[in-house]
Amino acid sequence: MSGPRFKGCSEYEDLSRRGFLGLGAKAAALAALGPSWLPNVKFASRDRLDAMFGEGRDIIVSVYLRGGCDGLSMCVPYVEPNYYTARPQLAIPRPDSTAAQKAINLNGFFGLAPALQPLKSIYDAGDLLVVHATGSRDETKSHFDAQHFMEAGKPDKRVWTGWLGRHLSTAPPMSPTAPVRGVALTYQVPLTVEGGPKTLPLSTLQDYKIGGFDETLEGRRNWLQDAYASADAALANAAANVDATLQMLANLNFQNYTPAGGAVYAENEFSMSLKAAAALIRYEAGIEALHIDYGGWDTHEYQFPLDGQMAALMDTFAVGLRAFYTDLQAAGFMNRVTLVVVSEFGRVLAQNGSYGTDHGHGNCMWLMGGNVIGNRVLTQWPGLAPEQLFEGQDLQVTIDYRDILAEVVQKRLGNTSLSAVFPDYSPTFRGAVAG
Amino acid sequence: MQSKSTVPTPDARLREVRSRLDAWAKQSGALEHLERRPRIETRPPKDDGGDTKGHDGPPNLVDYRLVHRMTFGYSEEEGELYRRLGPSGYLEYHLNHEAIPDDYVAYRLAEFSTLQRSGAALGQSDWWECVHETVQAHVVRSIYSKRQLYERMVEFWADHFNVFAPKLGKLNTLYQRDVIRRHALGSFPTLLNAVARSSGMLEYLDNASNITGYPNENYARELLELHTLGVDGGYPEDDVLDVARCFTGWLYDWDESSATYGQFRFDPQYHDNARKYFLGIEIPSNGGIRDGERILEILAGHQRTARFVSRKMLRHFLTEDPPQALVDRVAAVYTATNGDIKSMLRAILDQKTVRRYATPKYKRPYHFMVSSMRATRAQVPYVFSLWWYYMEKSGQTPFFWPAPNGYPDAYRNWVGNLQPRWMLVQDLVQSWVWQVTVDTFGLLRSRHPQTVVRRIGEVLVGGPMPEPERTLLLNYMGSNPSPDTVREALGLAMAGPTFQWY
Repeated sequence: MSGPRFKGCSEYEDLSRRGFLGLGAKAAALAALGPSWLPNVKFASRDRLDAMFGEGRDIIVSVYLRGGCDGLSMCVPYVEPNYYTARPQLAIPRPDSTAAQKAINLNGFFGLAPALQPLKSIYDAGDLLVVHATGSRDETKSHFDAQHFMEAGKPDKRVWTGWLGRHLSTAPPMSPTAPVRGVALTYQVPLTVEGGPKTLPLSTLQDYKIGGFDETLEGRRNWLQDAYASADAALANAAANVDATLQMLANLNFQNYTPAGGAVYAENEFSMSLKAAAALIRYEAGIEALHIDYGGWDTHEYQFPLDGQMAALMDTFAVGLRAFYTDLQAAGFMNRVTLVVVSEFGRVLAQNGSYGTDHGHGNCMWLMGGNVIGNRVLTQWPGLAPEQLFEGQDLQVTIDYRDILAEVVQKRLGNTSLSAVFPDYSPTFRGAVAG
Repeated sequence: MQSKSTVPTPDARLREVRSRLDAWAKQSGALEHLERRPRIETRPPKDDGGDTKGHDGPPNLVDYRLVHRMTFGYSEEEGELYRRLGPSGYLEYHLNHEAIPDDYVAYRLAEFSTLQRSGAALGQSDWWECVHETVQAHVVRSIYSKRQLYERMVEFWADHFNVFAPKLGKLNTLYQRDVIRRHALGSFPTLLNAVARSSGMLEYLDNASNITGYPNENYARELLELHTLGVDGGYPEDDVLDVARCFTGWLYDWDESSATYGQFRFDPQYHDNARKYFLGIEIPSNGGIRDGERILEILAGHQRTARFVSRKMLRHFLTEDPPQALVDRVAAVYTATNGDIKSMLRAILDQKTVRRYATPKYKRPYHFMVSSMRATRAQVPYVFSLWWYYMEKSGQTPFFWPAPNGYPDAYRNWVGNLQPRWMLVQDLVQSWVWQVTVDTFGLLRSRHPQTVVRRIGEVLVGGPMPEPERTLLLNYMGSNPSPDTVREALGLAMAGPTFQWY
């Protein structure tokens, strides 16, 4: 086979090549050299694309911290005495304390956990934003319901598509000939991207193969596409996506991928997923949405944010994001990428008897990218005094997580169909991103 | 309280598992074998002029539906058994699982030395040896056990009462053997109680550190939400806390040098003896261990539990969206028999019920793998091959789902990821999965295209391959296929859409 088997939507076939890549002149020049599998497309004026859908759309990377991360350990409200009284063994000392390990001051009110030190310079550079006392206003403390609601973008268990999937299905492709538009670096399709056209889970980039003799590969690929063409629509799509991905990855030598800027990805699943995401972004295959899951945040026990479970989780988180940032920044891509981090809920203010915390409510979100208005903690801080807590025990939610995501969708992804992406919700933009 | 400073975190253990598998692949030759991809020496079967014996239908996926539902995949042997016993005889045969001889599995399991160890002996054992042997034994049983319905129920409960092997370590041996497998075809209330007292669950959901004054609600929440009533079970948030208080002091012996390592113990000094309420029922003060037992009684006897478990079993065996009337019917059996699992299965797998309600179910990755091994009578001497080569990459290794809800059982979760499946079966037929072999011509008995395609249908689904796959396979083979091409046809048939369902 000589090219992707799948044509883009015909109505977008005449979009400009430069436009669909969404690149500046430098990158457009690079694109002219390859990748070799890229089919020829008709050229049209950049103006026409921009008029249709706005220019400069970002690639979005969505990170989900499964289990309900403890935002109060990650971005510490160290001026709150109640934080310290509620967590005698789990609090992170104030930045001005004499402790060896202590919070890294951000703005005189909040501080980063010491394990998040690798993120501080990104914050200082204005490319990292923390949103605090945010989350879903729904009261559930079930992981699975809370995850469903957040990923669906609506607290409704009958909704089986995700906010990012619906963004993709209501926006024209950034690249009309992109073989794949959305990728989840997971084994299954997470609800966040469910419903997205040309979207699939990719559990590996290194050995994305379908077995058998190389000599007969083409014939077997054709056989499979023919056999699946009349299968159930979801299955037929899945088969088509595998084929498109085989085509897309044929020339991506991920094994020898060299991160830019000397970035070092750690040997863990989260960092490997970010590395794969960076490789796919730099490969410019037209993928416009990536999703990464990072689990293990349900710290009911032995949470210890300085030297226990939470410290290890945050360290992995920060080292991973730092490598991703360094890589894409040095390669000149960070101005076209917005990364968002969410989790289903925060955790109870008070520690439990197991040196852990149970399921809570308000939490923080993280945004990273060249178009993020960073170097600050965006919050309407509700306070931690007993009467200020949600149901007497949890951080309140004062900013709906959809306010932040909707702003990203409209301003950075160029999609104004917010009522489709976040049904029955009227978001209030909070000035999280430029545009 | 237990000191955990020396115990590796689940994350660290998971990384260790992966690096051990990679090391195994390098050292065993599996990786090199896969890269070298040697061609099989071909011994074409003698030219029989095309095998005209056998039946070209009518048996098919629909006729053998009960076999497909009750097993980890159709095999000709099971098909034969079904024809001989008839639907109800076949069901009763499998429900009486202890009477089914399972010699080959017993022979295979004899090589795993940790499976039968006592708690005390496990205390002195290596966690990795215990974990990999529980996984290996599980795979061997899924593929080769004659007690297929029992194994399908083991799978069901292992998801329903999910634990994460990297967190449990060697406690997983006790948990799988003495809790899940012991009660898989017994009674639900007994199973629920066994889970509540198991070191595996107490460790997994942190109840082992749930103590008076500072309750840890992790187990209590999942007990209500995932094990019994369901998330919409009508309990208020405050009840979660009171249930957690009822289970304070439910601990286990975590001292590895103890003779009772891994055994349940109730420690009254950590129990909250004040009065509690659950679903409006008073749990009086000074109840001690009775508090937790009372909660389990209330839950096991609750109508919502009956419905929740019934719906989930119907989803597992018949259809993703069972109608309410059917759920109520099975729930009534639960109530009438005090949660007797065999009685519920009789209601679910009754021939008329299956005919009326069963809809095609999409195989999960593990089910797909096992069904391909069963259909092709594959020799799997080392489970590590399948673990490293496929289970790890497809995202479904037994006991390796970290969240308490178990591996999802829905089409939408798994439909997107076809690549590991296609790779597995197309390498399998070429014997490139290390040490795992399929005797293609022993299975298909011919290289004549018409016979080959008929035999492929017989071994995979128990009848003719549906169209368009049948015609496409004939087209692929042409009139005089080489042995390699015949093997490829078998691989393609398993990679195709029909074989993704059961």
